[in-house]
Amino acid sequence: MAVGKPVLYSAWISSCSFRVRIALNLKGVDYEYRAVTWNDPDYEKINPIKYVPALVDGDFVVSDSLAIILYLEDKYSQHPLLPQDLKKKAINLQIANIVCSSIQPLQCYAVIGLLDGRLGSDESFQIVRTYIDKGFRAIEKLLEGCDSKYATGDEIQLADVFLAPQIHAGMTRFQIDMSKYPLLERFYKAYMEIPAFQVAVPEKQPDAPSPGV
Amino acid sequence: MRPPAPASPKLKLYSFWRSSCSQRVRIALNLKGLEYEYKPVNLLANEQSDPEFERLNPIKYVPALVDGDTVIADSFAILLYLEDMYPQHPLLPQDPQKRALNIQIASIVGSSIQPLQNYPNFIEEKLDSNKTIKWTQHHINRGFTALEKLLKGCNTTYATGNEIQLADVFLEPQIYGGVKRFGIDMSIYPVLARLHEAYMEHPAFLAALPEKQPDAPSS
Repeated sequence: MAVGKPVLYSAWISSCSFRVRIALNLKGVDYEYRAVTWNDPDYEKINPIKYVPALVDGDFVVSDSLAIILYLEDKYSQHPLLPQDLKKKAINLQIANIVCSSIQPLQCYAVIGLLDGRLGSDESFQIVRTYIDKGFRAIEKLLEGCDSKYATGDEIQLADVFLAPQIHAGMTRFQIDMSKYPLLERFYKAYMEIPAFQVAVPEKQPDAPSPGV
Repeated sequence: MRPPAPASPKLKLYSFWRSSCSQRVRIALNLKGLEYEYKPVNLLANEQSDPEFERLNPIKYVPALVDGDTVIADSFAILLYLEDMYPQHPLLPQDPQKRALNIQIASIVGSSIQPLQNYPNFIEEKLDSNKTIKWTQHHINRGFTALEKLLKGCNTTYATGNEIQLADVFLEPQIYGGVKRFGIDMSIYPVLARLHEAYMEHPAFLAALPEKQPDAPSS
């Protein structure tokens, strides 16, 4: 059976999907974009656990952005996202995990939706901002004195792939004032000059609502 | 029981007895036969905010690992560091698809379950204790349902084969905590329940249990 290009199941606004889109673009992997909505009944047949994003590569399905991106690292050696140096590799993994375990899970819809029954939406919003602030302050401390172009060097690496979508979400959805985080603010401006990041932004995805709607 | 560590082992693990993230690293150190000095950080007494610890890990979470002059924090980062530095008893298979499955399982635990079970600590003034336990149970059950689907048909000794791998190292602390602290009914998760029984026969897992740690309460 001929193996076609990989299929990415993604939602435009999902920062987890945004990470994978960046990684695919950086590695120059041509992929098919399939939009998933939260209650899509057909999606469960593709991915029984229904999480987004998911990558289908031939008959192999993998979901979870970290698992997908590390799978891409194994499969496509161009533009490696993890350095050889073990300390730098660990910092990249730590920053990725601060984002995907300590910040993003708190902002996803399921969490906010569940809380909304007991907390006002304002209070939920402030709690999310508190967690973003805590994570961003920690990353600023971790990278204190950083004078490289990006988080861990002059090449884009895993930490950057995770940081860009989180900063984007913080700014566009949670009114985060990035001037409080000078390193992250500087990195973000640098990311947004790179085509691989530009074409991956939520607003440019096929399932994004039209502007003005 | 592990033999006592030598006078000044190269490895130091900053850990809290009940922290499932710390438990993951304890299991991995045991599997790889690595001696380490246990450095307790009492989260209930806010010792994670001590300046010395904050220097090691600015986000002030346990675990943190010190290896000579190298400091690594975050359980996933530590485990992959141990994989690279101490390749005995590898936790990740060579096959990319099996590796991806292990990381996916680790991520479901590490991103979709564990962080949300801590969440009520911040908002417990808003929700009474009945509601906070239901909050935690909801997220554990949601994650266990997903894991059970992902592992459907698993007929190997452990989650992804007949050897312990990364997925197992993440699964067991979550299952143990779910049962011991949050009243999760494992009978509805037959694969996870079977895996839990298998882990509870393995010395590396037993020695890593919360109650066996130096900082566990004695009663």
